[in-house]
Amino acid sequence: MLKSETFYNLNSMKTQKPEKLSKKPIEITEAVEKRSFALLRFLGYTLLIFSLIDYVSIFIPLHLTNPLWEFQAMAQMVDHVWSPLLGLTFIFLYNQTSIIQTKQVSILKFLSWFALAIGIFYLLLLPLGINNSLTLYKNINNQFANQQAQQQEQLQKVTEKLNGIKSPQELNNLANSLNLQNEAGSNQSPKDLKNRISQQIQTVAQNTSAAAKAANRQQIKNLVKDAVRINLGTIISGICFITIWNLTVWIRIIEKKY
Amino acid sequence: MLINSQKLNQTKQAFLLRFQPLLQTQSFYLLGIFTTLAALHLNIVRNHPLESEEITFYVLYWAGIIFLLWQNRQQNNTTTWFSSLLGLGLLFIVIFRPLHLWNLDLLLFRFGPIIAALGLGLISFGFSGIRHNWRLFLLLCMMLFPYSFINGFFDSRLRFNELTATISAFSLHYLGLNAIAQDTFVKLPTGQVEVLYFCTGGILIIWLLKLTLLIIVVIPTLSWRQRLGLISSAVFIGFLVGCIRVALLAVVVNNHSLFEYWHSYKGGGLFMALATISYAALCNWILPLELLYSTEKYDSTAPVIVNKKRILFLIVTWLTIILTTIYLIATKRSLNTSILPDSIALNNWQLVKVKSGNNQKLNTPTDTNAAIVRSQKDYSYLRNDQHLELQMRYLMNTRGESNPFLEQINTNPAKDNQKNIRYVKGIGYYLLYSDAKQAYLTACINPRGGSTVNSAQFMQNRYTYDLTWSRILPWIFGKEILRDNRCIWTQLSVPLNEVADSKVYPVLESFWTNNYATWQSLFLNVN
Repeated sequence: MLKSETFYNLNSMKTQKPEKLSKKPIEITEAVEKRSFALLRFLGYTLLIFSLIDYVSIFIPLHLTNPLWEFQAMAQMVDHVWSPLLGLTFIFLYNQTSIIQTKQVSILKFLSWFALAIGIFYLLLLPLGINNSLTLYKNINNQFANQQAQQQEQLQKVTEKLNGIKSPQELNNLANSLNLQNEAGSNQSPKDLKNRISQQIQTVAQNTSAAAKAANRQQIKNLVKDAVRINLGTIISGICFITIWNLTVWIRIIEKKY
Repeated sequence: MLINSQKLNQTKQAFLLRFQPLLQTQSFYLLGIFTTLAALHLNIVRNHPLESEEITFYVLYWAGIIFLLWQNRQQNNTTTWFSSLLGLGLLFIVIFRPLHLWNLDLLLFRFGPIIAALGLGLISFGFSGIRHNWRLFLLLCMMLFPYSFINGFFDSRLRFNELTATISAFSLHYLGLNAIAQDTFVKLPTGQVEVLYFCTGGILIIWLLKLTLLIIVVIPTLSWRQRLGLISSAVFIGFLVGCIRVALLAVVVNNHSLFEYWHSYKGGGLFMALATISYAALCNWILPLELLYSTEKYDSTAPVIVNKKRILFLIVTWLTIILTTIYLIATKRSLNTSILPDSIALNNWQLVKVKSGNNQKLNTPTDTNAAIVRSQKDYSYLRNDQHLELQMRYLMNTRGESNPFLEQINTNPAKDNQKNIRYVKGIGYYLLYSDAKQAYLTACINPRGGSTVNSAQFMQNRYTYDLTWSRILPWIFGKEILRDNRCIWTQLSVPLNEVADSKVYPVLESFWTNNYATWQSLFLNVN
């Protein structure tokens, strides 16, 4: 509406500069409609070019068979899917008054088939996405198990060291290294100190393990969220592209008349 | 019985009725001549040491040539006696030579058929008709074109093996197997395979491209889009089937017998059939079958009848070609591959032992460029308690590189000991090297010229000694081989016995220089 107004104003400024009295409601002419549709189509081609650049940057460098990279690439592809979708939609936007050049017919026909190919490509990504999600899930769990085992080992070592200590001097050193404040001064018996240290170690270990568990849960939550988003995204985008192909059947049958 | 003979008579009459007009046309005789020559050429190809595996390809191209000739049978050709006689001369100069020369002489193998085809074209179509039938000539040239250089291009420029490894690892990964591609390796938890160029789809692509070229030339009505579609589908299918093959090999790498089956020619042949069938299916989609029928415009109302003299000439030519072919095939001597004698007597040295072996291919078995060791013999000599070993390998169709003795050693001493290449005037180049136990002298004995060590020297010898004017005439008349690509790789070795190698080298060198002429004369045994 705004565009057509300016268009109208420009026209009026050019032609009817002296009389500024035209206060009639503005009527959209056929030419205006034609031009706005042409603008949309132009935008469609621009979007397609932009999405081409995007996709190239996603695929370079190629790390096929790396599950994490594939997962991220698919996420990016799902994120960027709106630009080719919109682009294709705009390109195929024609109204009654539009004229299609014969040269354009072959381009449009190609784009229609191209939409089908992209749709199938997105649908084919689905098994890969599910596969990679499972692999990543396994990796996270493995990593967590490894971490736990390592912590357990460390705890074991510290406890053994504590049990092996005999002299109070060493015990004090250990307490200092663990940042244990010797509240009651040095009048604490070594046995009490030992108990306190082992207690402290236990609580630290419990805390870290709880934190690790929470982090692991958070990771898995994120992964599940992403996996659902990506895998659903591939299905939806695939179906969208195939629908575009299906709805542009007119351009594919036009060709036969030529 | 009576009815039978009557029926027989009737069929005979009907047959003659059909056959007689055929005898009047020129195309009948031309087809006969072409087919006979095709049979002769295919016989040569079948016995060729390097090209015999490609015989299917030659058969297809000949079929294409004869099909084109059949299509153009209505064409009116104006031949003169001059062109016919000139053509006859060209044709018979080429085919009147012993068959074994074709297998030895690569130059003849590539260019001989072209000259013969030129002669044949002159006989059949005359000077003016040869331009109309350029497709036939093009097919023939394409048949003889050495395509193996494309392998090198695919291998070194396009990094085909890495690409194949990546794609096949990805397809395995897609199927849920835990595959990783690393450089040229496809790694699975169960094992890994290294992808060499000859395991990829490169060979399949070349085979399909050859088919595509044949189709493009034979069917002239194709649009550029169809041609492009054919070429790209050939490349695509070849590459894809190659990837599938590598993926399969990676999966079965632990099962030895399965791996051997799929890696051998049998399994490879299955994949080649798969590629060809899928290509044919795509072809069927790209070019509708009506195309083939539409090109055939049969006009039976006006058979071209030529005069009696011409027919007589064609009959005589055909019969001569048939007789020549029969004579050549009947008198064919198999290639004398064992030119190395059972014993070579050398003055002052006593022959102790001879060991022989036969036909062993160099390099990888699938390498089409590999020169073939035709025969090999090891001689042991003794003089005053001095042992000396003489090893000889007879090679054909070589370019004078890849010394078989140095290939057996993992670390190539030729690279370290480049300085140890010596030159003696009148004898040639040779390479001296040594390992922990023995000192060696190795070189390639040339049929003409001095001994050589590498390809550049070998080819230099070929150009200076083989391509001389005095040898051109005997070559044209089938008496000689123009570029003699044969070579006897020779290695002399002497045990070191804890002496410095520089003290042993003179023994080897004197042995080498004294006997070179004797060994060179071994090449004459072939005739």
